Amino acid sequence: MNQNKIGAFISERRKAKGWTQNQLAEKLGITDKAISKWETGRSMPDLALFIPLCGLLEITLNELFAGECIPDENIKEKADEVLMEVITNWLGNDKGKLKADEVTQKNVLEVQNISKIYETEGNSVLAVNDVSFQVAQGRFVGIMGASGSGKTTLLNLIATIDKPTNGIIRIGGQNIVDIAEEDTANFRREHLGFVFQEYNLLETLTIYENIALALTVKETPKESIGQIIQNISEKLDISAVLDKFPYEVSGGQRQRCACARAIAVKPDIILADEPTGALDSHSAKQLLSVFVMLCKEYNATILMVTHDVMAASYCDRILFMQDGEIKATLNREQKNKQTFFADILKRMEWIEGESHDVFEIVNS
Amino acid sequence: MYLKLSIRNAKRSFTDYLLYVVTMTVLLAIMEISNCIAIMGESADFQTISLPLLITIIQAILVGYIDDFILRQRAKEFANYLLLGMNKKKLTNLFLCEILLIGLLCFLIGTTIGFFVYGLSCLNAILHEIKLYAFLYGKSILYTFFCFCLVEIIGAFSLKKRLEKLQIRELMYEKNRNQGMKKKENYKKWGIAFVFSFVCMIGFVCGIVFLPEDHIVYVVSFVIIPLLVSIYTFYKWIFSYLYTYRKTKSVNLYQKNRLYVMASLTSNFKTTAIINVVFCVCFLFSVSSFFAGMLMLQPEIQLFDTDLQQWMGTAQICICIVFAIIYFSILSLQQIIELRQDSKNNQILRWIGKSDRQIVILVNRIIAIRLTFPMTMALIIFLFCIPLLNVKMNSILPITMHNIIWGFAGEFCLCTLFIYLCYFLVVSTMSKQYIKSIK
Repeated sequence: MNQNKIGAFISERRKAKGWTQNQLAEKLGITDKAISKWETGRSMPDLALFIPLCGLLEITLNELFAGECIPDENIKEKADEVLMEVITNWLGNDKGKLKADEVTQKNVLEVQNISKIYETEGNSVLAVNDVSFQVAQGRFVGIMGASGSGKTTLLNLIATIDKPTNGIIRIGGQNIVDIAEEDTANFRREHLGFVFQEYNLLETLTIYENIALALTVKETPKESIGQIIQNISEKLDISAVLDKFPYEVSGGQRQRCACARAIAVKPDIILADEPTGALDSHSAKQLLSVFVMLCKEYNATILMVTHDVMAASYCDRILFMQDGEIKATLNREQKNKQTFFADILKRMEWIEGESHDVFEIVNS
Repeated sequence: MYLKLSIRNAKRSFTDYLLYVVTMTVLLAIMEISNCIAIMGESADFQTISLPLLITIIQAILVGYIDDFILRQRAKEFANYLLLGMNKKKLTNLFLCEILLIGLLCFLIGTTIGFFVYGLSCLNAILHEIKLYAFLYGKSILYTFFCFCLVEIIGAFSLKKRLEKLQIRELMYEKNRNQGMKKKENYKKWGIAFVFSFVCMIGFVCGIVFLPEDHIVYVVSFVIIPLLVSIYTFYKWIFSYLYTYRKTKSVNLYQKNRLYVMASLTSNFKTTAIINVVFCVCFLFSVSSFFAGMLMLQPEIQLFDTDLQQWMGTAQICICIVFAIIYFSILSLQQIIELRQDSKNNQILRWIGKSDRQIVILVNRIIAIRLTFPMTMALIIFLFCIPLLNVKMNSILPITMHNIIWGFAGEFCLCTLFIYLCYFLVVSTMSKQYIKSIK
């Protein structure tokens, strides 16, 4: 569906009726600003307005989505085409393809029997309990779970921000549990990239400089920094805002800048903690598409913590956490996003059901 | 409810107000001392009123800067009050009252300390009668109060204007706002203005050195103008140039810590330039007072009655110390507070791979630059003027005292280096502890 084409078509039909934007807005009971946004392709009419709008402009729904008048002889063929396009837009046409070389891909992250106990005034809390999993290179893995399930603690342990009580974590073959405190910064610089819910960009630096800073910290040759930023910003669609400060751009752009900063230094793995938490659904989808693109085109490995099912449906594999343990895993395999989304919901329901059963047994 | 909220938030913003309280108290104490000196000088037929006036100007600029700093820190909170339905006029009045009350508290503490210090230093020398003491106290407090009111009115007026201009959305982002420049070429204009004013200033100094005695008085009266203009244009030029250089994305900037240091220096380059001018003037007065005081304390030089000359020499040295305290104390406090405000930056640097040690080195570098930057122009001026003034003094003083100016310059440099290192060590240690405590 071409939003601009639809907008131009609405404008053309409105003018043919001899109405101003204001008059059409009055008839639909909305503001003229909304009409202006439709006509310039900045937004689409709400679902509830499709039929009244078509009625007023004397066009069919097919014609509205096609953005043109359809002659009677082409109506069937064109209607099917429009319907297919609408469905594709709604559900997406991606198929989760198993990477050909997935079997041979080495593991970037290996977590073995990790536990984390917090000791507080005589109390000990088991935040992560005997967790083991692997993430192969180029995979996009999600960790899902309710608040307090231990997913952020697990991410912090992998991020070298915290030390596990037991177990081994290997990133790029190196056991990070053994790394001395003073060497962790060096390890983070060389092997890890971060994307946070709150963006965490330096407000005194422009978007360009924020990305450049990560590169200078990694001691990337100064001559190649400009080119790296140019390439990555084009891929992430932030070229136009490179010279702006973080507070001058939208949340989605800020988060894509954080992604650019993370990927620019080519880390072994990108750790994302609720990256879509502060974004609207459109920006969240854009960001998640960026993650998928980074995995496909840059062979980036991403480990994302989320409680959002929509965000998780973009992953290749989901680890479901509850009470500090991995209760289940779900692989996308060749399923499309919609089927995977439904599977995640079912699995969550199953996990919740199981915990309810446990409660019932305990209570009885 | 609003009042309770405001008081609670003011308590929480204690660190922001600390800069205000310390600056106000120190400057009011100094103003009180200088007013006492001016009143005593007046009774001895000396015109020393320019000192409190100068401190008032410095205080007005610094208070303006700190008011702006507090506003930026609390802008989001103010935006929330407005969203809750508070009237903007009421909010402005509340904030101004808050500032004024704290100001009054500083006035009481500052004047008490100031008068106490002055009384201690002069108890044996001049003030023998309790009556004279009371007179001096009353008059100096009145003068200081007048200067304080002037500073508060100027500060309140600009703050009110600024708050009225800012909309809720702008208040939300005020803390993160960075200053920008519309035209890239602006720095060239400032550069030309600096060169011109600096040449003028050197010309005036040459006039003082080489013109006949009866013409010198005119040159001496007006040398202050090109001097102040050259300081102002120098900092405007240097900060505009740094900002423009940063904007050119030169590859030389993208190595080591240069980008971060440059950003920390130029993110608010217009305000930073003005603050540097004020501190440069403080430093310049400190040096001038040192030279004047040291000359008067030389027994070979007899300009006035011995006791009076001794007193004046001591007073000049006191002024030197006072300006050095203003310079280093306020700049150091500013560094400590800004480090706390920007603690998130350190966390981000950690995530992108800087170790605590590297962050400490980076912060130390920024502290060193910020402590040094304001004195740079003063040092340039002295580099050019000291040889010229030395020639002049050599022509006046007996041969045994030739090149005495160079001796004073050396002593002053050593003293400054010592004070600089002390302050740097204190700020650096505090920063190091803070960086390690925040993880």
